[in-house]
Amino acid sequence: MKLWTIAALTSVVLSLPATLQAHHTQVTFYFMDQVVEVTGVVKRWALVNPHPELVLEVTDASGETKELRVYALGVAGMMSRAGWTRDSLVPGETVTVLGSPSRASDSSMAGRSVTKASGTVLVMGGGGPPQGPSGQ
Amino acid sequence: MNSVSQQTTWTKITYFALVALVTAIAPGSLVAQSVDDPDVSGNWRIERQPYSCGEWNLDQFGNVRAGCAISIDELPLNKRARAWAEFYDEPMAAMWDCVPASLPSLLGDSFPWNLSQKSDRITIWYEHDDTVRTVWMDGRRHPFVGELFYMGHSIGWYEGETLVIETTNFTFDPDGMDDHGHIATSVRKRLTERYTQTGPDSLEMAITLEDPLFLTEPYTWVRQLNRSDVGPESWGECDLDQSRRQLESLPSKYDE
Repeated sequence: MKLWTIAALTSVVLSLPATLQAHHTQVTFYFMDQVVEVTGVVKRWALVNPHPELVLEVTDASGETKELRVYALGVAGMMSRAGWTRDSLVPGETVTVLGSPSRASDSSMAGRSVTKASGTVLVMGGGGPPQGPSGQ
Repeated sequence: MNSVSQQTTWTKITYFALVALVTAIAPGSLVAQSVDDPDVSGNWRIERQPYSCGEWNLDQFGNVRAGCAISIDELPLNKRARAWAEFYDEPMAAMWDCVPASLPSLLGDSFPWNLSQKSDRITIWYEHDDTVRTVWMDGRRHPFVGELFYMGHSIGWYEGETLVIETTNFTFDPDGMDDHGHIATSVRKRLTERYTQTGPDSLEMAITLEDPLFLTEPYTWVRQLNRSDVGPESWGECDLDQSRRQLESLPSKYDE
């Protein structure tokens, strides 16, 4: 069942650094030229080295739920410096993730940004503090 | 001079001779750093440039590998090096097993560094993978060629306003050229770094890479280091399970 919708590039994505610090070989794992938007419920958020990991529970059109692993494009150190903490995302909250789909699996993606229900946008590519609504 | 006085005199002579001997062979902590030596202590950052990993250097999906810290296209690679890149399969990358990047990869990204100059050594803390490297400045030589280290063995000295660091005794490294370019280096790799002050807050870093098993000739490139008001921060321990999990969905180049 199709979970992905292709989203137009937003001001949040455009505000990301032009060249993300590539710790791992992202282009091998993800379609970096594509941006998709997924909404789900946070199951787990781990600000870990090397790449922080968000696990979402997502529901498709048929009502079937599955887990989606979102690997941040940034690294833990840079994201911590940018203001991310272990409590930035809380289990049970609904968020929308912008990112790039995996080449080999529909259960993972690369995360570029997370928008909380409050409208706060958090950039997962590192650099800059957590931002306000719509990247402002 | 009576016998007691003679014994005292010989005792004093022996004592001072021992002190002189210990001073001569003691570690360089007793060696003072010259005021003319360049001041490289502090936090530094490179202005990272996105280098091509080589248009011919493809992953298992046929994509050009990206994110290299050296321009692979400019490296004088021999046939063995290109054959290695073609054979290489992503699961071979030790980074997925939390092995830190080695040299010269660490010299090419823009995570902060901290250099600490001491009289007998310089320690360099790279934020990337929280790596600390020791450069011995006490005049010692490299160990026997058969004694190998993942980060090599580094010795350094000053030539006027230039800090020179020579590193040898590397282990064979499947990603030794660049950890995104996936080209190996051998135990014959030699890295020479020359840091020259171009201003109070800037250094020119010239790096020469030699490896006769994978390069047809030595290759030199230059980067600019600028002082940074941001120093390295620890990334915390690498989560091995999480790191390996990212590989699970990636098909191998070779049938299992």
